[in-house]
Formats: sequence, structure tokens, C-alpha cells
Amino acid sequence: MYSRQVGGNKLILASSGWTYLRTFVLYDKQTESLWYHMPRTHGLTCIAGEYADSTLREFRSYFTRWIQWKAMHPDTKFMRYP
Amino acid sequence: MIAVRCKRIRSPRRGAWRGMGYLMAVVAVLVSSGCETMVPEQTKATVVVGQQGEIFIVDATGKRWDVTHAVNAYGFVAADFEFGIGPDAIRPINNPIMVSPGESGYPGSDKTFLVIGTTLMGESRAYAINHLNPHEVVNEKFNDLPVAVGW
Repeated sequence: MYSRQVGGNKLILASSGWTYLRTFVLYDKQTESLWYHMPRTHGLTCIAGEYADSTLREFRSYFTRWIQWKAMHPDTKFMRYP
Repeated sequence: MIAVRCKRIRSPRRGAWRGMGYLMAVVAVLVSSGCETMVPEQTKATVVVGQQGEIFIVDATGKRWDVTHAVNAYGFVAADFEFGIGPDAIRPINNPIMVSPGESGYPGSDKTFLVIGTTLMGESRAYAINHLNPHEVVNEKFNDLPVAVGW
């Protein structure tokens, strides 16, 4: 999970439709800058565009099963879909 | 006794492999539906060099992306960008509804589907992998903190 805020700007991120080394390349809708999770780093780096060289910090997240997550966090919310 | 096993996400590649499966499915659907103009003939990017030496990659919609800085500053190889199915092929989820225990749509505690779980500012949230895969990114907020969930 990443922050979407650069300076005072809140970005909307999406898939650019590109991958690089089997990793999705994201872009922000505001400037169409490209954002990529560089290997051995935390967060997203802007590799091209208006925000070039800026970074979006990463927050810790976990890959697990609902039964386990719910057991550890009984009050957890869940994203409703669709 | 529930054996708790949670993996801290260390590498973006885990999610990327599953997401790649979805991306290939999108390409397969486009091919089978006859949308040949939207499907790249090869996965590697078409590279175009501009008059001032700018380096562009061109996606299946014809859109040009300037990757000059990525090449010069980060060592990206322009032709190694792949697929280029366009920025609207995979749409993010924006501002989803999060349900609490007891609310409609909240899963039973014994369900075993895969999720991304995160705790921020004291609040825990979970996103089903099956829901994330077709969208890649969820744009939402923890209180006022704007975040993007992906994997």
C-alpha cells in the first residue's frame, strides 16, 4: 500500500497498461507521470513525467487469508465489491 | 486453534505474476473478440525517438509515453516495457465502500479467500485478491490519508 500524496497533491493512480520486468507500471491521472516500484526500495518512484524522481512512501501490508486476518483484527473492515 | 500465517509483502513481483495472468486474459479476450487493432503483435514496446532525442514507447492505443528520464536516470530499456494495452484497459477502484462487522456484504469469519490486509492509524482493512486483480489499484483514504492499495 502506498501513499498517494506528493507535497500537497493527492494523486489518483492506475495501471498504465505497461509492465516492466513483470511488474505493473502505474501512472497518475493528474500528470500521467509513470510510477514504478524499483527493486530493493520501499515505495513508488516516479521514473518519468512531471513528478520525476519523487517517491510515494509505502505502508506495511500483508498477504494472507481472510480467516487469519479476521482472527488477528476482529474489527477489520472489508472492501465491498462491486 | 487457528494457525496464523501472515506474509509481509516484500516484493511487488508476487502480485505482479497473478496480475499478469489477468492481463494476459484481457489480451486473450481482445483477440477472441476480434479487436485486432487493440492487441500488440508482440509484447515488447514499440520505441520511437523524437526530434530532440526523446524516447517514447507507443502503446496499443497509439498513445506515446515519454520514458526518456526512465532510460537516462534509471537505466530502463525502452523496448523492455511490455504489453502496452493502454491506460484504460485496467481501471482502478476509486473510493470503495468499506463494510464493518455485521454490515451487509461482510464475509463470514471462517472464509478462507486470499486478502491484502493493512492496519493504519489504528484501523484494519482487508481487500480480497479476487477483487483487486481486475483493477490493480484501489484509490482510497484512511481518514484523510490518501492511499493506493495494490499488490
